[in-house]
Amino acid sequence: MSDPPALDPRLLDLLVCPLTKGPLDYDRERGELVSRGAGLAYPVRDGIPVMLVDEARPLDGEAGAESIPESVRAGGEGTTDVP
Amino acid sequence: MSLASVERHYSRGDLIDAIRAGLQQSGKDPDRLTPADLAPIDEFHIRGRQATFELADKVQPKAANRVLDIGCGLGGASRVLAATYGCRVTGIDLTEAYCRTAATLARWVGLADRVEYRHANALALPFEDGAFEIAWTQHAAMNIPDKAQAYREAHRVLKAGGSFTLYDVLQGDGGPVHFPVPWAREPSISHLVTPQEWKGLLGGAGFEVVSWRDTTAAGRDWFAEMNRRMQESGPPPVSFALLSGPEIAEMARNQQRNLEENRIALVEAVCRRL
Repeated sequence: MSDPPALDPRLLDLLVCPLTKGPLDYDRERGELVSRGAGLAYPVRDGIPVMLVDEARPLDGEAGAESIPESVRAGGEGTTDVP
Repeated sequence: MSLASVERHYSRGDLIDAIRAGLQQSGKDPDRLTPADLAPIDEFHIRGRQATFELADKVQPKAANRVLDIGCGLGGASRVLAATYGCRVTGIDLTEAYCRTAATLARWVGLADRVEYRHANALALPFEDGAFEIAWTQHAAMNIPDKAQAYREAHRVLKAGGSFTLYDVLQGDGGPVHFPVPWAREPSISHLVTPQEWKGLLGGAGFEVVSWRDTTAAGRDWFAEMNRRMQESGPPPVSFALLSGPEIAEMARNQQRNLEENRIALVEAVCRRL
């Protein structure tokens, strides 16, 4: 009754970056969903994508979470496109 | 809003182990479960599964529909919708343990191909514009201070003409609520609005209210019936106590008092996305 969760083939279905609403790439090696637009990598834990900006890892050398205004990080104006 | 304090409020030890033990104690075989067997634990809202069926009947999802459950908790409603209507349901919750437990329960009842869960924030939904025909939420708005933003996001991810179905606890006209309640141990994470304010927020986000039903009286009856059963046969092995701990007794008492003294109101609403 408690099979280990297989990788959900529909992981990326309908899913976008919560911050930029832009596309995500699945990094199989790291098990992360990468938003190039936001410069963030969202973890996937136990097969569940963790789509929270505060839990995401800033990508090296790109616009990372630090450059995002606090109001946006808290989800206040989460639809703003981040360059 | 302090997201962490909301998540902390709802997080407890290993839920799956506790649920499995409770089910076995009540004579259920965890290998042969139906969604109905999970109703005492996975429908964490007043009037439980009955409220879910009534609300679902108002929107009647089609098998081809994609449904989003905002604040899905352990996923009870998502599995009822998927099992009854054959639709695909995506649940989001701010509490990671709930998402994980919901996914495990879905595997137990053989619905893993039709329901899925994402750890996400209602204020910044991780979904494409117009991704869903139906958005659904039950007893989640009480923990969301910025409801205007939450409803704008629901509007964004819905197709034009789509339905937004809500069942929420609102501020009644009998005064401030008695704490603790199941959604908050103290006032800092409780954010109730009056029915009038609620209508305004929904209208402001681009929704037209097409159905509105005050179920406060039915909620009072449900609590009375639950108390009667508890006195007759004691607390069941699988109950919301697994989610809220020993405080659930006091929370439930306050909830009943809040209903009786009109400090809270229960409303089911169906809106059309304009």
